[in-house]
Amino acid sequence: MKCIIPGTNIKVFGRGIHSLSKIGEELYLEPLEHGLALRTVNSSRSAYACFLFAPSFFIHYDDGAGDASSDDSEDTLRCKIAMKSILTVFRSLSTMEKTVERCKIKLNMKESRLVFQLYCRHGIVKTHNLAFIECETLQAVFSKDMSPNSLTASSKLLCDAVMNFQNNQEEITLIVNPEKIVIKNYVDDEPDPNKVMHTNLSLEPDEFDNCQVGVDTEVTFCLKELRAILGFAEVTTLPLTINFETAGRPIVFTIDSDSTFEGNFVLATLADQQGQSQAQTQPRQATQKRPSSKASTSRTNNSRTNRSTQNRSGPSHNGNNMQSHSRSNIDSARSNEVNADYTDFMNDDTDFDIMIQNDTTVVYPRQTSVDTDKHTHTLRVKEAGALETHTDRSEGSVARQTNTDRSEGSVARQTNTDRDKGVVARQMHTDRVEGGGAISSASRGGIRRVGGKGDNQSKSGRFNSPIVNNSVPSDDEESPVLPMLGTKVKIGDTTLTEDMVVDNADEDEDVVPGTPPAKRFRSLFFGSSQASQSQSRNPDLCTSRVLAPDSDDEN
Amino acid sequence: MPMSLSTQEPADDDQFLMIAKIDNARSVSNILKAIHFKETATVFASSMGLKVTVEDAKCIQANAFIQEGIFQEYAIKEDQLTFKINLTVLLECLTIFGSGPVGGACTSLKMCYQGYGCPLILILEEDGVLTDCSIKTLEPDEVLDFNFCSTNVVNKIIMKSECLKEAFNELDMTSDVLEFLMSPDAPHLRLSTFGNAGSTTSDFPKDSDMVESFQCSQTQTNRYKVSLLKPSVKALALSSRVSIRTDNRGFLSLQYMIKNEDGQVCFVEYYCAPDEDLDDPDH
Repeated sequence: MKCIIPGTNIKVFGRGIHSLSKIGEELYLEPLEHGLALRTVNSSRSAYACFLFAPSFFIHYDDGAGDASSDDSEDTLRCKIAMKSILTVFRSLSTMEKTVERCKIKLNMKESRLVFQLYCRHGIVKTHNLAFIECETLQAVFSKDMSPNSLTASSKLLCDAVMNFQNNQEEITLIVNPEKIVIKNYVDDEPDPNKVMHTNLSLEPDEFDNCQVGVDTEVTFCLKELRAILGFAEVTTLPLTINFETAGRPIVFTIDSDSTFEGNFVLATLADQQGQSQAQTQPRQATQKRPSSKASTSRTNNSRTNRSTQNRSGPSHNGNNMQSHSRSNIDSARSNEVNADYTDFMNDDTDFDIMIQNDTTVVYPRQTSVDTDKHTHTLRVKEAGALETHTDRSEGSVARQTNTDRSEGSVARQTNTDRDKGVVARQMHTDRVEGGGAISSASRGGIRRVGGKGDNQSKSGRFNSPIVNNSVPSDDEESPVLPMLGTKVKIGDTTLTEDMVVDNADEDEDVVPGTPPAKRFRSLFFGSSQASQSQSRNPDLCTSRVLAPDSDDEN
Repeated sequence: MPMSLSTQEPADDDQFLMIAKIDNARSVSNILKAIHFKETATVFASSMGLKVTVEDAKCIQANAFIQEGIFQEYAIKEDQLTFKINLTVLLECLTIFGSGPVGGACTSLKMCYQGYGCPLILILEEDGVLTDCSIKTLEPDEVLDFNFCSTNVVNKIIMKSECLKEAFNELDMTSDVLEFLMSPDAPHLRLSTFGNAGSTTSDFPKDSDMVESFQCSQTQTNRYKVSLLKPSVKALALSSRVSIRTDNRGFLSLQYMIKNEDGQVCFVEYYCAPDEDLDDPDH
């Protein structure tokens, strides 16, 4: 493998590495036919970044594939280097910009070193011989094309927006509807939401180069990672494209310079406990994990409601979830995370009353129509946004079922509700989330849980972590995961219940007194379906749509 | 004995064995900062000027030369006066009015020394404000004589400081040693470090426009402890040119030419003993 970067592109390359270094600890390098791929993933597998530098980016590019002398094992170099090592090469970008004329990267197989040679002014040559580790390809599975929501903005717009948030702000929520786009800080479960500063920023769709909102939604993700992305975008002055779907599903940030290079950043989003987004949700295992503070925490009043709804009602969430579920189907993993989150969320004290009320509301994630206003939070509306997360988180669970679950953990299947129980979620989450903040956890939880059914979760970790490499721990716990996994959205999905039950066991206590979980669930289910049908935009939400056959062992 | 410069009687100066006056105290303080990596320094005053020496670990020695031509007034009654002094305190006094170049205002300095056992007197004035300092002097210890004479110099390179500054600023601190390879053949000058991330080398060809003079007779590779050389970066940062010399024993001499604010030239040099392999048969 050998490639030479011209002096003019070194800044971009170096900046790319700097932004990757803010996300992960190791840099995965792989020379492909269509370019050099630099990838990283964070420790909790909740953020993945990939830069692909096409051959046109280099003066000379040779991926080594045609190297006759290398044996099979060396045919393609797939290695990873510690970020610290590569940062020593690209430490001072401003100096490099001025002095380096070109940079040669080649592989020294004899000494097992990756060699970076910087040819600087005045004939000075700096050589860095870095030790690497051979590894498998780091891949993430995500889809940009199919995402209903897409925003394209100049990096300046986003930088200015992000500047309004405190430096220690962990997660932010992006709320979209065709009329406006709102960014607000995500408030976790704070002891007193009123004591926390809430920042809310609204943008008009026409401030964006392209604004396409297919599904009104609220997604919560990690701000720190977004700042890393914007750090790179600033240098390139290229627009940034954001593709996302609903809470719990990954959000993808792309910077594309025609055919020279492309950067993709995939972040997990907090699964909506309400399940709205989670539709697929996976029962958020979140409950357990809840580390992500995100979703669950928002204690805001609204959230409470939401939460409760979610937790308790599951149904309400479920409603949402379901809806989302149908949408999301895909993410079982997500749901798992969501579920997890939800579960976590659920663990919080909830107002059963509210939950019960919320139960009937079928909240469509995007629709505000959610019956219960409160519950609705799942939808973007959710109040504090945090709430939103709740829903996601907690339950991401089973979109449909989850709702029900939430509340009481009801419905066994609702397990998603597990969120409270967190049990399920937790498990899922644990895998991933551990690290991540809310989002991660949420996602994780969600995702994993989803699995409950299987290892759906494992795959992506919370938010469907597209990252294949992830060794997602299959949910050991039933992921409350919503039907996504294939469990089908149907609310009454027993399978789901099963999963949920497991986790929710502990949480059943939370169930609103007087309403047996099963009943709740059912009512939620049916009620919601009816409700949802009326309100759901997606008629199919109501229908249990089996997204994927449940592969869960539990089932 | 505090006394203002303006009121000081010329006759009072008779008691001092050494008096030095300079209009801009920064000419002295900046140079001393370049060698300030230890608390104490030994001052040698002679008719040629002042030499301040700082040592560490018996392996590294830094010398700052402030020639008598730099001073507006310089008088010494003995051949050589030697005393040890706390360099940190001395620098704090010299920069008592602030260390940055203040537009317009200039701190003038008068240094007086009465003899063995007496304190070093500093009188600083800026804009009519006077500061008197009296710093106790200490018994001077023997300083190392690296015995580095020009006749033993094997390789000598004089280059512009600019490019070395980057190399030294980015020195891999996880490496124990900094290796100097000097050779008449390519690579002519190579600095290498071996750290946790891997090895890093910087090559400077002799025909580079950064290199002003290149006289290498044999290929030499010597290693020096990074921790010992790191302080020299301060001197390198202030300098415009640097001369790198190694002798037959592998000792390194780095000489920095520093231009002060008034355009006058001062020198700072660093001597460093090589890192020897214990099992090296030659040593």
